[in-house]
Amino acid sequence: MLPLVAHATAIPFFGQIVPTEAQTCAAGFGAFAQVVNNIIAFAITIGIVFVAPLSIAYGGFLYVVNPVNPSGRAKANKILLNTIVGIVIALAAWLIVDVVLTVLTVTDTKTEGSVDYWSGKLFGDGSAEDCLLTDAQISNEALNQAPATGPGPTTGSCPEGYTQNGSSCTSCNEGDTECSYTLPYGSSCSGGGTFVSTTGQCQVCTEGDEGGCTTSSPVSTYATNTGTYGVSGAQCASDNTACSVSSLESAGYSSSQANTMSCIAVIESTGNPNTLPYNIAHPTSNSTACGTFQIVQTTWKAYASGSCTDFSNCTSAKCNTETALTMISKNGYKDYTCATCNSKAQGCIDKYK
Amino acid sequence: MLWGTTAFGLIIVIAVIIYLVMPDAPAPAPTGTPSLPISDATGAQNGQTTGGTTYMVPISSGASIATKDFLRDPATVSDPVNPGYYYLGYHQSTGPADATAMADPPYVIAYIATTHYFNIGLYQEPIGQVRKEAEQYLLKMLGISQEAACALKYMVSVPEDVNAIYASQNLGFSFCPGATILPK
Repeated sequence: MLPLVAHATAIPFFGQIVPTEAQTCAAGFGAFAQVVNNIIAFAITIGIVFVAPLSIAYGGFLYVVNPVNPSGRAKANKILLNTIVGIVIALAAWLIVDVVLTVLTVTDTKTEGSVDYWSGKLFGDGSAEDCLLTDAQISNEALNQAPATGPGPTTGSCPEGYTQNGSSCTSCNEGDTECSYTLPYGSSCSGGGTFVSTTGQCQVCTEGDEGGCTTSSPVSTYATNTGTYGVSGAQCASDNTACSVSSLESAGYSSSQANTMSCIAVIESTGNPNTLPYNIAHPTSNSTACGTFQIVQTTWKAYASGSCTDFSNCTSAKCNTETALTMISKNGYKDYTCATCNSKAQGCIDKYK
Repeated sequence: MLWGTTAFGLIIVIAVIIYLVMPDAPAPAPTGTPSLPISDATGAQNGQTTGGTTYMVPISSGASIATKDFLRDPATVSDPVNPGYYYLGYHQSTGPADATAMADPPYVIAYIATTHYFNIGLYQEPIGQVRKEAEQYLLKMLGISQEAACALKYMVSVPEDVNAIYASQNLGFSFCPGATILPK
């Protein structure tokens, strides 16, 4: 988060115009204001550091070469005067911006209704975001959308009385002038504080605390899927109907076959049946490996049967399952363990045989 | 001086107010490999939508995550061979040409509607970069946070012919705890 242009950028300024924080997202007001500040500072820097000295030097030069020529001296006078006036105007403009922004953004805790009221209203805690808020952070109120009226989540995480609306929970009653918002769906202010829907953050304000409110991001309450990342010998997930162990067992594979082939499917195709013959994507290759288990055309012809006989069915999850079962039942796993076939298939066989 | 300062302040205030009430700019599209179209889905209700634009995706804990109705996005195609399979963006196809079909896609995001499972395959090197592109596309397509994505039922993997070292693993999303760190 970038402090809201409480002061103009220091001069001379040779830094980057666009803040680093705003180069990876849609720029918010904080970044916009900073860019404007930087452009002004850079322009003034160029004027004072480069243009003004050159103008003064040129004026001095005219004095030297026109010791008695009145028109030449007048021209030199005009250049020097214009240069000095230009410097004064440029610095005065910068000074005005600095003063105005400082006045508008400094917190006045003593005078109720002072300028801090509207600046605080606009910018919350006196700061502005570098990036535009994501959909999950922006309440429907901020988007000028109608209150949500649809049904809530099938298995609710919104508090009672709230309706899920995108990634937030909304409570709107007839006659309300505005809806109430609670935490984004799946988040909590576990560190304490109140959720502010317009910023998407948890806020703790202490009365009399000159440091103002502190903010923190809500903590996700989603249970993260962990524990299987990076483990060699991974099998298709239980929900991948193309090659999960349970799917293969349902198709007639033994437990050993199902575990082994589920592992091989991950290595061969990432468990994705929609992999066309390899030589379609790689025309220089002769390989026709296709489908969940990357069975080549000649092998397919040898083991596929019924409605799966034609090789055009090689991206069918069902035909892959059936054909692979016939193949390994008759031929074992040697189609995967040949010297140049698959360096990791043997690991699956060793692990799950 | 006072009038000048006040007038200047008012100009800033008016400019700020105009800026704040302007509609939001769209988020940047995924970069790198050819960007895929993502539209603002506005579909009718069905058994799993709320409000016509939201799709409920059950996660492993039994709860559900509200996403954009990505199944109605024009960039999502159903698999004519495998009923219930959908491809979000890139995919291979021998059927009628569509905007996101290509012979050699950098990644494929498959969604199996019956089990609400996302299968992400990385099919080109550098797989670290390709994984990031796939993640960005999926987050944008679903309109969810990284935290929510970590709770999806999903798998990220790479075939052996693309990268023999990282094959045979669930690589996870790069931003999820425990995910495999890939070379950039």
